[in-house]
Amino acid sequence: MDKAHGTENREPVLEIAGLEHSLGARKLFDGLSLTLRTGESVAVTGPSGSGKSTLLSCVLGMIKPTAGSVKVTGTDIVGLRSGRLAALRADAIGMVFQFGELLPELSPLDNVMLAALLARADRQGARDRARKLLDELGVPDAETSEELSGGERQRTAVARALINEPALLLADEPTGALDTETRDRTAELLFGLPRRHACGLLVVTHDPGIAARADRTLRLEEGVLKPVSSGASA
Amino acid sequence: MTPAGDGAPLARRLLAVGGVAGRRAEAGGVRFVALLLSTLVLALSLGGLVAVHAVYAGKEERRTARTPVAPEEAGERAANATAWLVGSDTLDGERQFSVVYLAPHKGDAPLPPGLDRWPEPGEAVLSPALREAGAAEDIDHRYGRLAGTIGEDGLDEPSERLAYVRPRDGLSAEPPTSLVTGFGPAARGVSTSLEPGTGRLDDKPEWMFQAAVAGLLVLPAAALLVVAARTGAHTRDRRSALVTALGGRRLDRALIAVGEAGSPVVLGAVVGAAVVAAAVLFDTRLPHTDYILSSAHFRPYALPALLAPLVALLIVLTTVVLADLAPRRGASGTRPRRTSRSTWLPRLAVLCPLAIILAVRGPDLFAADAALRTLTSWVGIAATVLTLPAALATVTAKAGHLLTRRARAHGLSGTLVAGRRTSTHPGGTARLLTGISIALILFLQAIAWQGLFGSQAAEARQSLDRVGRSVVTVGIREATAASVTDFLAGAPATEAVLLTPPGEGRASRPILHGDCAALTELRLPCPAREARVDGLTATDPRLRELILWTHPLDPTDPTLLIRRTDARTLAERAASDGEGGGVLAVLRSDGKPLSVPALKRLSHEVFPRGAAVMAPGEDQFTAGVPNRDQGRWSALFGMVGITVLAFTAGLGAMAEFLRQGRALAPLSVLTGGLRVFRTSAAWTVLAPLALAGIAGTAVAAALASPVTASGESYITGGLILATAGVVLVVSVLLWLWASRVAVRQARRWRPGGD
Repeated sequence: MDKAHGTENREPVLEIAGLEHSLGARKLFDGLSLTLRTGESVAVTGPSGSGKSTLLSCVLGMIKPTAGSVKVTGTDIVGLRSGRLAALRADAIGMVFQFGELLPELSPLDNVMLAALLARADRQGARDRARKLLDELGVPDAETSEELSGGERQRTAVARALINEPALLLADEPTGALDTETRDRTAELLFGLPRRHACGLLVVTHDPGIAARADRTLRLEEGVLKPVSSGASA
Repeated sequence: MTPAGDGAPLARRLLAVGGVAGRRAEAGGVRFVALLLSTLVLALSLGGLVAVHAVYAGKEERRTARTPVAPEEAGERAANATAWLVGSDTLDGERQFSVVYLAPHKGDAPLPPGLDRWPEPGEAVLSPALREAGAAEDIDHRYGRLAGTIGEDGLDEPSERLAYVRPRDGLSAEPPTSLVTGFGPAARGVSTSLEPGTGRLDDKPEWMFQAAVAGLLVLPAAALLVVAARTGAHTRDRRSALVTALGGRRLDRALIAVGEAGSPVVLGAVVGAAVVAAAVLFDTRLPHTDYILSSAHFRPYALPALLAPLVALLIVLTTVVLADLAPRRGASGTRPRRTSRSTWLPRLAVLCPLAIILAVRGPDLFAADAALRTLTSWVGIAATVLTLPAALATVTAKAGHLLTRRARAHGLSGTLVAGRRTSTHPGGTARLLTGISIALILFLQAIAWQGLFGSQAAEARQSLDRVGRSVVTVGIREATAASVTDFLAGAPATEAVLLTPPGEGRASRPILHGDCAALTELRLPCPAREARVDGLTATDPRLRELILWTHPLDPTDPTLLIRRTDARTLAERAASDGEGGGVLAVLRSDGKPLSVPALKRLSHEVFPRGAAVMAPGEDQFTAGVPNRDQGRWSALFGMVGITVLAFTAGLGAMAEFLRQGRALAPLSVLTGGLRVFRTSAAWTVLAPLALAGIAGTAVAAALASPVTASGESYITGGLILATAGVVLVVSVLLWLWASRVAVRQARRWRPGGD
């Protein structure tokens, strides 16, 4: 079922074409393609080891595929030089990891601000925006992010992913480590983001309940992404 | 709460982010100390390289400035001239030093640098170091009255031993005395052969000293730096990857890394700069070698010396940044790699004991002077060093299995954790053991080879051990029969003999002259005039050593002529035969040791230029002393290097332990016991390091034994104990520290809210 009515005419923020990648003898991607547009959310599911996290790493430019192209806001990141790649990541991509992946030594505010600083954002505004985002997401003040609960950490990670107003938001099992109630709240927050912040959201998850909230659900199988019917994904 | 205020430049903010991360990091304390130490040691090592050059250059300058100018014939024509004769003397068990006899010859006789006025006849001017070292021998009065000390500008360095003596009866201008018209290149035409001081002969070339500093200090400092840079790498690699994922550029990561390492590195550089500055400002006495580093030599090199800490700071920060930016193993997937097990490692390990046996026992298969003997030793040592890592890795993994089994059987939690960790990841422990063991082997080899060059010295020492100073030879330089008689009369309760070398015709054998009392004292017959004895079977050990070191007998015809000679004739013969190779020997009639300092002083009272008083063969021993002193430097640098390496290995093990220790925290909460940390730290940090120290020293000493067997061994029991002791102390300290930090870490641990 396609819930992203009216997104077809919008700008694609992510275009993957003919992606190929192997891990040893195992072929992870075999001509994989995907297009994600502004305001749209896509969930990718699949069994463990099918290459979901590797797909996100390819989109982030952290793993170089054997073949194919990965265009983020129209720029092919495969073979991009590290400086330009870093700038593109900072400007256009936000990422929410499974366990938040905050810097444990820094406060939540520092963690969020750091992403803005790395994007060379306006210094005056970064701090205010970070505080505003954390307030909106209900993250309390803390000296280090280690003091936060799992849900709070994950919301801090969301704030960090949003601070640079990215065109593309990636999330790797964003609710994998959360209890049901926190999971639902975080999922609601995440899937509301594409429309509120005019970005594309690509979520990797093995949780069918989470995947069902996306506009489109795709399953990574035999190296390609296959659409999942609403019945199967529910 | 933010690490830096708004409006601050991005760079400063990133540095501050790094600083906060550094302070709060899990292995932060360990890395702080490791970085501080590595910067400090590197700063001091680089400062040491500058100091070595400064000292060599400074000494050369001083030596040149005091080198006499002695024009061959122009000396007599010159208006001003000094009579100058360079002799030598020794203190008990120490290296030789120069004693310069000088006297004004004519005009305004030039004085060497360091002397501001002419001493009166019968007066001596000594260097402060000679006065200090010779205090026990009453050196102040050996050459006459003490007229003062030599000024600093007259010595090549503060620890130089040197004496200027103006003989009581003046100094004839005839050879071997030279006429000196000035000193230093300004006076033109310097004669290096007349130079005072023995430094130029004794000192090893500068490159050798630099190589010792580089090999024994800079290299361990570099190893410490690598470990320091990678300590707590797990957290930093993760952060680095995250910052990259967030769009951080290489410069951003570099700035965070610099911010994180900044405080310890700056602190290390500041402490290093303080030490270097102190050495530039004040003379510094170095331990073990008793060497005084001259600030006067160091001062002209103050700028490069003080740049050393800055260079160290830059090197450490660059390494830290490079270690942070270096691409980790090629990323192609998102899963950690499994460690692969090697099949050839155990096979290589079996060869290690064989290599040790080859190195230790192999040389015995060949004659003492055969080249194959040395070659076998080298091949054995090289094979040991090559196979040791494999052997230690295999043994470590096996030990891990054993520990695990034992722990399971007895329910020992800490041992179980350490055992499992060791058997799963033997690499870390094996690297620790290998690093220390190889460093110990190389260290003791360096010391052993130092001794090999002095096999003559070793024989002389053995001779000294056998007869001590119960007999001494008196090498007279200039004497009359009366002065010899005075000398012998002045030495109470002694007997004297004169051993003359084989001459022409009938006397083609060594002759021992002496009166009845002396001959009887040496357990020889007292003939009416002359007798023949078999010199090789002489029963008195003093006579045997005297013959051995002065005029060794022909083994095919070991005849020694004994000639009964009264005291007056003996004195006449000794005075006239001094240049002909005759050896005047003095022994106490009660067989007790003679006081060499007292005899030396007496010799200066009766002979114009004293006499060389020494035990038979002692000059050979003295010739080996510079080598022994060089060995002390190797021991000092080597000890520092071993300590640094032990710290390096220990800190590496400790950081790894603490990283793993986090996983133990929940367990300790569940069980309520913190003892598990102490036990597992003992097995992870203390046991391998202590084992490396003890076993490594034992293997290293065994490997060095064939080298030391044929020469003077500077590998003393004390050195072996000190070497193993240093590693043991470091291991205990780091174990206590690791346990403390792990317990604190566990106490602070709270279950996460997820």
